Amino acid sequence: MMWSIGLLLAAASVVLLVSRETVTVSSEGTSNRRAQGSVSSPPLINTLPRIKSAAPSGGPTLSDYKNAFARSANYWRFARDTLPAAIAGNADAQFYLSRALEYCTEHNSLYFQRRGKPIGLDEALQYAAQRHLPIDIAQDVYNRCHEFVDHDVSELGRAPDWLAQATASGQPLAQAITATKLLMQESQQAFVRAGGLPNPNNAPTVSDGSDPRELLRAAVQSKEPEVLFSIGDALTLMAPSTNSDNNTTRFAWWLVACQRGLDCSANAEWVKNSCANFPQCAAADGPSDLVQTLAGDKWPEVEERAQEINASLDQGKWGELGLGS
Amino acid sequence: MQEHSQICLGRGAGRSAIKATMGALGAGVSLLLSLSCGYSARAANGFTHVSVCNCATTADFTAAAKTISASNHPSANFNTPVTATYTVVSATTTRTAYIQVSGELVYSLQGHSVTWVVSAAVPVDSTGASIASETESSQESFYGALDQTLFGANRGAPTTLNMPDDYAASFINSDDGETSPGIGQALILAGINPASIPINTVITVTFSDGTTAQFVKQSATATYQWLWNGVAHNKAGQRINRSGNVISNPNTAGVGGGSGSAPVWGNGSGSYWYFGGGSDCFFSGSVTLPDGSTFGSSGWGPC
Repeated sequence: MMWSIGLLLAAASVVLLVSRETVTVSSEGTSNRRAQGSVSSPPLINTLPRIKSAAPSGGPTLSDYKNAFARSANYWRFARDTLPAAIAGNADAQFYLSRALEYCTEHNSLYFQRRGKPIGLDEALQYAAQRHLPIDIAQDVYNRCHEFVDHDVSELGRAPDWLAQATASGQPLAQAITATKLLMQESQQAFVRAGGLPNPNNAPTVSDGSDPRELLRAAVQSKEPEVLFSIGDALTLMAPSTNSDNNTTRFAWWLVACQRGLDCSANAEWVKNSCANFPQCAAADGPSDLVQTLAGDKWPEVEERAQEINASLDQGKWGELGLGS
Repeated sequence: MQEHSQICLGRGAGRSAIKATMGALGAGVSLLLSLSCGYSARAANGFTHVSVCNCATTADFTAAAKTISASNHPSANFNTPVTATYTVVSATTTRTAYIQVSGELVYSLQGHSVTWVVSAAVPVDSTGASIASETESSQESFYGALDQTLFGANRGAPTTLNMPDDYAASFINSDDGETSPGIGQALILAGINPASIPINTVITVTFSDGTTAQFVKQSATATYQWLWNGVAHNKAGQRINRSGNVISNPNTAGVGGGSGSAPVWGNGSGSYWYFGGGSDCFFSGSVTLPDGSTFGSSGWGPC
């Protein structure tokens, strides 16, 4: 009974949150997000039917939440709309609620604080420009997250708790994120012990007792592009070494992720965040442009390794992916 | 061209082990293509020795330490257990381990011979606490972190940067909102794509007031791409926290020492490290650029 109510709530919340966004579909079939603000709204096209068709069982699917999160111009609203489904136990809702909460906490800190003190939009835009941070992201962060500053967010719960619940439920993106966080946490703890002194950056961000390798082995079977991308970093953390093989493997997984749908163009927020001011990143267009640039003369090896990974993924040969067994 | 100095000191201010001057490139960035590194340290548990091995795993490091201990162990009476700590630097991976070896000299009446018998070889962290009960993965993560912390760089691709002044002129009281974008910009001005640097890579950053700090690369999708790893020094080479307060060496006892050399990878050739002796548990390490300038780190080993 409770489960049925949860599904209904989840379905209703996705319909609600998606209905507040507008999506236009180009002649090539690609969609473009446009925030619905105080200005006049463009016509609503193709959103609700797509959600319904993607959820034949009647409940929202992972792709529903993924699309809704990607389109959302207001994460406060997204979080509030997603909360009932998350409370009802929908793992996808839990994961994307954790994403929204974490995104706004971290990005408000980076863009809308200066030495720990909150700053307004005008000053934040100037401060971002001074630090050569992408201004459009600063503006997006304001639109998405400023209501988190204005409201009591405690009712939404904590990002780590929602992530832990989604991970425990086997949500693949949550599993991959948790695994990477666990590995990174282990690495940061190792630096503290190597340096012999406490470090404020060492505060645990995830308290999951799972084995990160097991989480990755489970997550990879989803073949979700975000999971595949995370594995590139995770493998580097799992085998700290010296040689360029690490980079070859990492870039190969990135390439696979890009080929399978992850946005790796210059417009992707992660690209802007990590190398927006580097000319070759700013010129990235197709799925392989960025990785080819990064790989340099290792590109043939990266391509070859990516082909091997793709083949293993397609054939379900999970044991051949370097994630252990 | 702006000049920056970095000094690696012995315990306390004014004990300079290594002094190096780095020339600034562009916005103040030096990329190491060919290089070498040096490392000096002081004792642990009354004895220390350093060596190089082709090590990657705990089994490799402990086996190497046992072998080393056979010919390099503390003097002791027969049948009296002694303990020594060995700093073992890998020549094939960017990993370094502290291995605490316990053993004793056993005298054989029949053969009139003396044999060094090892009773235990245990990996320890920088405080001397055992990490033997941890998973192999966790231990190897520590070896990687220790190596980068000691040398102030990833020996696989060492990079050092000068922080542009308009981001932060000093490490003291800086925050991640300044330093993380500042490192990204400094890399770009140096022609290095920040996204090409592997997660978990350490770089040493020098600020214009002479303070230095180590930062670790985070995930490409992280909001903050670079976070401080807890190691920073003031202009005099003393360990400091983010407020600039000097942190005293907690290790005040120990003798012995050692020296050696290990490779640094990249596009260059010729590298070495060394490990010096003394009366406390101190190390200083450095990486040398092809032009002879160096950068590095200093701190304390297990006592």
